[in-house]
Amino acid sequence: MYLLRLALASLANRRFTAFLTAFAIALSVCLLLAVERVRTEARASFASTISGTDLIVGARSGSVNLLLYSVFRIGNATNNIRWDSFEHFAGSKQVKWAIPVSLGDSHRGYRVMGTTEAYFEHYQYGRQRHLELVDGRPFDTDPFEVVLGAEVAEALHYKLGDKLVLAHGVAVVSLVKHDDMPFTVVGILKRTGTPVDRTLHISLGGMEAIHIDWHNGAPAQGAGRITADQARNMDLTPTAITAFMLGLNSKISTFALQREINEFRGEPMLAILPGVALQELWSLMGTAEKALFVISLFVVLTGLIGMLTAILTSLNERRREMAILRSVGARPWHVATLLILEAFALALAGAVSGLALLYIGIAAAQGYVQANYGLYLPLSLPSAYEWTLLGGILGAALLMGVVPAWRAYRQSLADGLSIRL
Amino acid sequence: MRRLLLALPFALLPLAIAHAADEHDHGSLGAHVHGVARLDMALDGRTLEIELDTPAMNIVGFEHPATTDADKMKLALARETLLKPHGLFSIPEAAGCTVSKQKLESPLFGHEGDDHNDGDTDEHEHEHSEIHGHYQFTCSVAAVLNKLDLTQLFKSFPATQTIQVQLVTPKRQMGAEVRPSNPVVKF
Repeated sequence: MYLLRLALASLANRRFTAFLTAFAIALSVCLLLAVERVRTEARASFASTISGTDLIVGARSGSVNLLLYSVFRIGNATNNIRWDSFEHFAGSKQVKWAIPVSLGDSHRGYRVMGTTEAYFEHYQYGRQRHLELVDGRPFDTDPFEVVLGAEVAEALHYKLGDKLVLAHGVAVVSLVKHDDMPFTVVGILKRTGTPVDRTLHISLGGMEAIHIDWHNGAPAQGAGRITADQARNMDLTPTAITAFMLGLNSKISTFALQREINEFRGEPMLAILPGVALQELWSLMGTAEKALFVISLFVVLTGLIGMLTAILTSLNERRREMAILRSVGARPWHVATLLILEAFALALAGAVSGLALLYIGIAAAQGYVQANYGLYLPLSLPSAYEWTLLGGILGAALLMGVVPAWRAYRQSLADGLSIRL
Repeated sequence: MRRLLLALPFALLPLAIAHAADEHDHGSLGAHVHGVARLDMALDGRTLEIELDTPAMNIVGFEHPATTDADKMKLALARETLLKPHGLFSIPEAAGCTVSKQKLESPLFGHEGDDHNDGDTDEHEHEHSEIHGHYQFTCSVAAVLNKLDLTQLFKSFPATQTIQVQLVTPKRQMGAEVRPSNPVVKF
C-alpha cells in the first residue's frame, strides 16, 4: 500500500507530464470504446427495425439496396412496381397481410411514406412490437391526413390539427412544394428508435392526390390545377408503388412465394427475406468495422507506448529518487514494483477518464446523432465486451510497466548507493 | 438491289417481334455459378422443408446429358445420395423426422416428372444444367432442430465450395454463406 502511495506521490511530483500521458491514453480509450459502441448500437438498431415481415418486394435491384430504401429510408428505389402486381400478390392465398410502401416525397428533410392502414396494424419492430399512437388516430378515408413519427413531431413541434405542406422529392431544401394541398396531422406515433420516428405517414390516396395534376414531373399550371376538394372526389387508386412488405400464413411458403415473385412474368421484381438481407449487409460492413476497430486498437497502443516512453525517459532523471529510496531501505524489487504501479496508475487514470469522456461525448451528441443518423446511443453501463477491452488495456499497461521496472531493478542493483551525481 | 436492301428491315421485322415476344415469355434466368449452391430451409411447426439448387457440375462433374457408361454411373450414384436426405443434411434422429415429400429435378435425369417437351433436349446440350432437390419432412420433435449441418453434403460433393443458405424459423430469418471449413449454421 505504501508503495502505491509512493508511486502516486512521485507521479504528483511530475504532474504535468503524468497528466498529458494519462490524457493521451484517455483519448485513445475513448476512441476505442466509441467505435465499439457505435458498432454494436448500429447493429442493434438495424436489427430491431423490422421484425415479423416475411418478405419485402420491390423492383429488381440488389437485396441490400431494396432493404435499405424500403425499411431504412436510405437511398432511393431504382424503379417503381405496378399496383396490379401488388394486388396480384397481396391477394395470394399464402399471404396473411400486405403493406404497400410508396416513397419519394419529403417534408423538411424527413421522408414521407405513402401506405395503408395495414401498416399500423401489421408493421412490427424490435421483438414483435407493434406501432402505437401516443396521440390521435391513424389516417382515415380523407386523403389529406398525416401521421407523424415521434422524432418529426418533436423536432418540428407539430401537434394534432396542425397543417403542413409536403415537398416534392427528398432534398432538404426543396423548391417544388405541394402547397396547394396541405395535410392535417391526425396522429403521432410513439417513439420506436427506428426510422419510423423520422417518417411522415400518409395514405396512398394522399400520395396519389398531391401528384394527380402533375405532368412530366412538374405541377400543372393555371386551369390545369386540381384543388384538394376536387382531388377528394377523384379515383385515387395509385398506379405504382415503391415496394411492399408481406406477412405469410406459414413460414414454410416463404421460399415458394419468393421464387414465384422473382420469376413473375408481369414485371421484374425482387423478393427478399429481410433477415437474410441484413446479414448480407453485416458481411459488407464487417470489413469496414474491423478496419475501424484495428485502427482504434493501434491508437490505444500508441497511447500506451507514449506512456512507456515518458516513464523510460524519466528513469534517468530519477536515479536520485531511486538512490534515496534504496538508502532508506527500499529493496530493488520495491523500486521495480513502484514503476509497475506507476504505469498501472497512469493507465487506470487514462481508462477512467476515457470512459468519462465517452459518456460526456454520448450525452452531448445523443440528440444530434439520433436526429441526423437515427442512431440511438444509450447511456448504458459498459458491456461485458467493453469491460474486457478495458481490462486488456490495463493488462497491456502492466506488461509495459515491466520494461522500465526491469531497467530500474537492474540499475538499482548495479548502481546501488554508489551512484555518482 | 438498293430498294431490296431498304426493304430488308421490314422483312426482318416479324423475326424481331417474334424474338421480343420470345424473350418476354421466358422470364428471367437464375444465376448459375459452378461451385456455388443454394439451399433454402424453412421450419414451421412440425414441417421442415429444404430446397437445394445446385449446378450439376458440383454434383456429377458434367452438365451434358449422360451418354457414356461412366457418366451414367456417376449420375445414378449422385441420385442415390441425393435421395437420402437424412444423411445428406445430417438431420438428428432425435427430431423424429420422416420424409413426407421429395422430388429431384434436373434435365440430366431425363424426363420422368419433367414437363420439358422433346424439342428442348438438343438445346440443353449447350446450356448449363441445374439439379433441384425439394424435400419435405414431418418432425415429431421439431424443437431438437437447432442447427443445419452440411458437412455430409460437402463430403459427398466435393466440387461444391460455397452454399448460400437462407433459413426461416418461427423465430428468425437468417442468411449465411457456408463453406466446407465452417459447415454448420446454428439457428
